[in-house]
Amino acid sequence: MCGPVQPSIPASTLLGTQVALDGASERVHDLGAIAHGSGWRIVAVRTGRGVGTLVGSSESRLSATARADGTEVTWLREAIFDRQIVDLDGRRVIRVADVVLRWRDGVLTVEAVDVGASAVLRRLGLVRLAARFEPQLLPIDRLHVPSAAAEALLLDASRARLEELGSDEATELLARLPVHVAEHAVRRSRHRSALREHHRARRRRRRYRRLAR
Amino acid sequence: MSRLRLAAFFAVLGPGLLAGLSDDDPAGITTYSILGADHGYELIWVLVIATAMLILYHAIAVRLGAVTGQGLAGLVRERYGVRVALALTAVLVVANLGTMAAEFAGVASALGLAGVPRAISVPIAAAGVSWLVIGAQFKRVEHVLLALASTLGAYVLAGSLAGPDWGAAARGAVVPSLSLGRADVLVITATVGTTIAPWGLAFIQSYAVDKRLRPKDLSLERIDITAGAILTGVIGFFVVIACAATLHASGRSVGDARDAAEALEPLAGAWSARLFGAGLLGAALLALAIVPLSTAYSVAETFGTESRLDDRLGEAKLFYGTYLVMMAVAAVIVLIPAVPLVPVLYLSQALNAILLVPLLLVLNRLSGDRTLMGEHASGPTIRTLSWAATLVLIACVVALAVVSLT
Repeated sequence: MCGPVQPSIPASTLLGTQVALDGASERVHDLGAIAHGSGWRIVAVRTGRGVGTLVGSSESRLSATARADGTEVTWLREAIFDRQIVDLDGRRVIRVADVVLRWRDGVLTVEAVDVGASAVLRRLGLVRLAARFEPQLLPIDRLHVPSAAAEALLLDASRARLEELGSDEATELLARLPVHVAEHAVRRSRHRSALREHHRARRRRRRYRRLAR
Repeated sequence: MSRLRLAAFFAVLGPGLLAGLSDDDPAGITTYSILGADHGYELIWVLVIATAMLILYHAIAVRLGAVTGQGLAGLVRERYGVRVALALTAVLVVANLGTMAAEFAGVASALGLAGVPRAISVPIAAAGVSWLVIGAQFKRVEHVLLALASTLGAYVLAGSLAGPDWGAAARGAVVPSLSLGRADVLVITATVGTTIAPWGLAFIQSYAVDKRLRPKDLSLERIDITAGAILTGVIGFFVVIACAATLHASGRSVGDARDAAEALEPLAGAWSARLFGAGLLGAALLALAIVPLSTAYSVAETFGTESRLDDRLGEAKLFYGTYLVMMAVAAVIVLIPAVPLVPVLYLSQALNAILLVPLLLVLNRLSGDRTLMGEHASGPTIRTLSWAATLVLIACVVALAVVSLT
């Protein structure tokens, strides 16, 4: 089925292909990933009929079984494709054009996001033109991927990197970010206290300005 | 208003005024001139409705920008994919090129009244506006553009000097009258279409993001939007009454805004005609800065390299490259005598009308989406009003298609 190291696969090329879902042939609408260690792996497929658990691939076709557990997954098309990447200063850097996957020991893992023109052109169907450009890859472990589709933000810092920071450093970092970005950064990290401190500091600053006036 | 609140208001001022007033471009002034010259004071109520629609949709676009931090094309890419975003941007680029050709023609007409030939006025306008937008800081660009917009006040003076019948004008603004003839349908659709332009909607949302407006700024920003739209309507009103009081009263018709300025001279005096010409130049230069900016924002957002007016040339190559290419191509279209300008302008107006319908549908949908907008999603009143406005516009476009084809 899959060797230890396989060529990389742009996720966009899997969308719209056929998946064997409990034997029946279905079209892939989306791929669902979960965080695994410092990386991400694809565990689910969404088709017109429903959601299936990815079990592998055979004859270059994905195969899946009807999904039994209710683990929350991040859907690539919904939460990552075309999302904006924001850096630690709150600047809009670039958009995700594609997600690069690779089979590793029978597991479909997320390697990186492609932010280059080649990925945009490939998705537009201009495959030959796309081949002229080098992909621009950003490793997935440099990104903080929001859990839900509600916010369009990916931070150029992993949750692990945020957690490596001391509380003071985190407070200083958050003070430089727009509030909603900062909230995202700490939503699932242990720096909730840093965010509270950040809000308190902002309130103090505002009050001080009013008093000074 | 406290000093702090006043300072906050001046900080958010800009998007509504610039996007609104740039809608009074030469195409707009021409439409208002025809509205007044051919129909007198009767159809001023159309301007009132168009102004209300402008307030509604500019407020929706700014709210989307402030809440999501994204421009319209970027948001379309995120929600509907890169193909849809590219298709929308491609149509916008073509339509905007035609619109810019119209703005250059406006500059050439206005300076032509003072005897400056087109071969000099068009390149100077292109170079001057490009230098301002690319070379200067965001704040300075905004101040110069707002100063340029103030030249539109010339129309208020021109309209007042023309000696209008104020009672008839007020009646025309509040009492709708309509005969469903071909000329009425054309001028009504043109008035609505020239007031709410796709490039204006794309510009105001991206500009609000560039200006870093946040949801907390929305209450003050509403004043900017309302003031911008009402001023747009008021200027349109004065153009209509200037032409209604003079050209309509003497049974004359006009083909464009330059015709109107020239025709005004013997009827309303030399000052009125000169002011009309000066307003036309200011309107054309303002729109000439805004339309390519709207295109540059949209192209950069579609390809994922969002840029700001404060970025340097080397930092935002796609953004400024798009701006310069648009400016150069539009100037060449106007300068080459072999290029037929009228079909180019007609095509761009048609593309603008076609593009406006899907854009309004997207704005309606996204602004009401709770997963995207959270507590800032449109409430039932705004949803009802925006769908009603979209239906009015669709009816106008369908009616225009019917009268054009029959």
